[in-house]
Amino acid sequence: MQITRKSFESTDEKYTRVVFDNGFTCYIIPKDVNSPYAAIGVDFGASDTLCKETGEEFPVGTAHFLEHKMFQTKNGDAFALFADRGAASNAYTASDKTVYNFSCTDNLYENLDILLDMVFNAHFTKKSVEKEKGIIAQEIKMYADNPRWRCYRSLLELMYGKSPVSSDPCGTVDYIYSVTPELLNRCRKAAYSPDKMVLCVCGNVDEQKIIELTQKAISGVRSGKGGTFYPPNISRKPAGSRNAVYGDVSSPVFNMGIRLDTPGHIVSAYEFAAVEIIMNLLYGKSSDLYSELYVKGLFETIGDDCQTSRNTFFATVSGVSAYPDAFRASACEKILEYAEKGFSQEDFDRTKKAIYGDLVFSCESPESVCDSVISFHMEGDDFFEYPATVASVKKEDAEMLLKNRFLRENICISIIFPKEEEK
Amino acid sequence: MSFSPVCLSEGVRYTHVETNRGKTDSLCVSFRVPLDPVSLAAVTLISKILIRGTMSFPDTVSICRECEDNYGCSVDIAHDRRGREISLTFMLSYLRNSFAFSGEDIAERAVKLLSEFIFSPYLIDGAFNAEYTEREKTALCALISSIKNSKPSYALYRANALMCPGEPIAVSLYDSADTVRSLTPEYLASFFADVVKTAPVDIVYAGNADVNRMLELVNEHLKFSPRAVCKPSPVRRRTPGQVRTFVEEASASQSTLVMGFRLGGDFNRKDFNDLVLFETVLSLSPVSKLFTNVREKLSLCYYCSSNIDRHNKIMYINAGIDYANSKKAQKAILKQIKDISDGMISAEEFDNAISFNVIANKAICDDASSLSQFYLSQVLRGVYLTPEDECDLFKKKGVKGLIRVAKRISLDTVYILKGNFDANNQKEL
Repeated sequence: MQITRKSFESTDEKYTRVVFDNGFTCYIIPKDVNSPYAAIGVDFGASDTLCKETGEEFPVGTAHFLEHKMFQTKNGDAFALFADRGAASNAYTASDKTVYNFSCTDNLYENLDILLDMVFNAHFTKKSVEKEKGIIAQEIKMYADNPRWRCYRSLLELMYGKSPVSSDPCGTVDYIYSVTPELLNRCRKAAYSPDKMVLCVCGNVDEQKIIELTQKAISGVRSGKGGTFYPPNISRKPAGSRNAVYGDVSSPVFNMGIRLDTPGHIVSAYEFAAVEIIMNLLYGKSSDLYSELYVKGLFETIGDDCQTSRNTFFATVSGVSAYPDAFRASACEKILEYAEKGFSQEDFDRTKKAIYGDLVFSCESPESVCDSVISFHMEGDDFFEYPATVASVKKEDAEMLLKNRFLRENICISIIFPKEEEK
Repeated sequence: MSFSPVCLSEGVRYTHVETNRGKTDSLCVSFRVPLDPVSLAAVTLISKILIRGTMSFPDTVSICRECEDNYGCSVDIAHDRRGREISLTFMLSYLRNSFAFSGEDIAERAVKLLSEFIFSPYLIDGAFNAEYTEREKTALCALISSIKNSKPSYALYRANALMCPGEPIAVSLYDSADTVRSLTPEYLASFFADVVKTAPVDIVYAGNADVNRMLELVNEHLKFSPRAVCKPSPVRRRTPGQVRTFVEEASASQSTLVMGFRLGGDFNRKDFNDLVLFETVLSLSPVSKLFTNVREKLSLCYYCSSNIDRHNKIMYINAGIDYANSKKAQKAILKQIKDISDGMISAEEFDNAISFNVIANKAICDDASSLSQFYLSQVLRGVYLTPEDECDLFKKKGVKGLIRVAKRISLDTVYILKGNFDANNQKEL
């Protein structure tokens, strides 16, 4: 087992990272809170449908179905076991990972035992798999009725083509009804391997006790490398630049995306930080564009975001606008303008300061800390280094990135217009 | 051990909560305004106009840049309804001074900004900026019409309108587009000046500054004149008779079922914890009756949740379902309430409900923002109990209290928003 300890003065944070012999990684983050939080991230998400080593395919919807059923253990429903020990548990399936978590005020170590047991020893019965299908079918329908969700999925399809990346993570109702316990077991065996998992515990915790408890829980788990999963069929360039449909919305809902990945290139934390700064400067509330377009009535609400997972890297601006195409035209012009004239040093430094403030804010919450640590770990980075990375981004590097990656041909927009406008 | 707010002057209270946990401080200033259709529209619109500018920072860009430069401090202006009152609350969060790069006083700069929003909004000749007002009216009307984008929200709004016409709970922003359009910059500025001058106000601070330092800042930047405090009149409600059922259609894949119930009891003080425990057993805890039986055992839905307005003594239960299952779902939901009123609550369910609420109250102490929200809610309720007191109170509760709550519940209205479109396959159902 390898133990690393680090502390970070500027954010007043520290952690201990333990890598066990079978590759299972554990972060222990001390924090003076009443309600500690723990999460296990599995490096297998909704769009990871193809196993590189075996070629076996698990269609979109499998990872999410598995997440629902992982709470079934030989000792009973883990959800109820957590509740009996005063913990609130949950799980989610992202594009590139599945995360199981709980928070509690007492019985941390007992709850941690349950969490570790369920991710390694889940037990599926035909009956429980069958009864889950109706629930997931309703979840699929609920998302299908959400215009923002549909708009986002459609944007992903424009940027990455018809691929697992752009599909609904829950799968389709037809596929869900074909899932069997055998399929789920096969998928779990292939994807849920200790070297593909990371545990993060944050709170008033006894470090040694967590290490011992984790060691004991994983001692019976097979070692060896787990499968490497990835989303196949990602188009090399955007499949289209605009998609517009009509739906039951009051005003047009839009999502504009800028595809930033380049084939074979792994996104660094530095590049990610630069894009976060750029997006703030271009479309944040303190940007010239935000005020200018809001005053003109070119949007009602907008929000920006940037994401990277597997081979994808993109930034988005989404919101509600009566004139989404005019919004895109102005947003593209602004990119060209800044690519030519550059950012002001004052704006650049102020934006970095605000992002630093947001990161320190986010460190208050054990949940936010654990989720960020897991996400960064899976990208091969360290979340606690990120504030320093943001501070180190040079204006010239951000400007270069803006010039080379924010290209017109990589900008796509998905729109849902009110169906009344169709008439 | 209970706490007591300091009375700074008549109708102006200050509550100080000291904590070393976390990295941020939180300061709330909350005004109480009588609820009616015009005041609801005015308060909503004012909260949007205020955030556009102050006399020192007259536009969004300069305000946002001020916040960014002060390490991402934030000011949110929100409103909430409590029976016959609306609370208009300014919420400030900022990093503690120890995280500043060069010893700046983040706290004082942030409190000054908060004070600007309240005492120096951006006015021209005594009125709000006409351009900002018009723009925010358009934005608010767009928000009002967007209610139909979310089918669960729309179904709740319709159920509420059909169940409680004429009652305060039915006063809805979603019916007030015309009122919003009619409000002028002059009227809104005078309305807000009146709120600042006459509405009862509560200031709540949570953070690691000592009380003397905070009172110094409050006296310097948030000084309010004395004002009268009037108790709002009690809410009058319809007595439920025969259950009414309404079905409307919408372009949606999923149907939404809303069941509206009337509650009996005094939930502000006496029965408050019993009501919370009832709701926890019914729908909030991880082993709640609705989750375990309606979702997990019967697989009828993905979500089935409750929504209680204790001021108006109303409970809504809503679920996303297939229309064909609507009768089955209603029967299953009613059975869960009947089981509670018949005392069919297992020790596991009851213990879980107690521990769920104890945990929730303990977790409040982990950050300043949750603490300030909790204490503000307590002073508005007129209950001066700390999170620790609430934990002790829950631990002393027995099952009889929640049975009593369940026995006083009666179904009033069933509303179904029937989905008639398959969004995945783009075809009518």
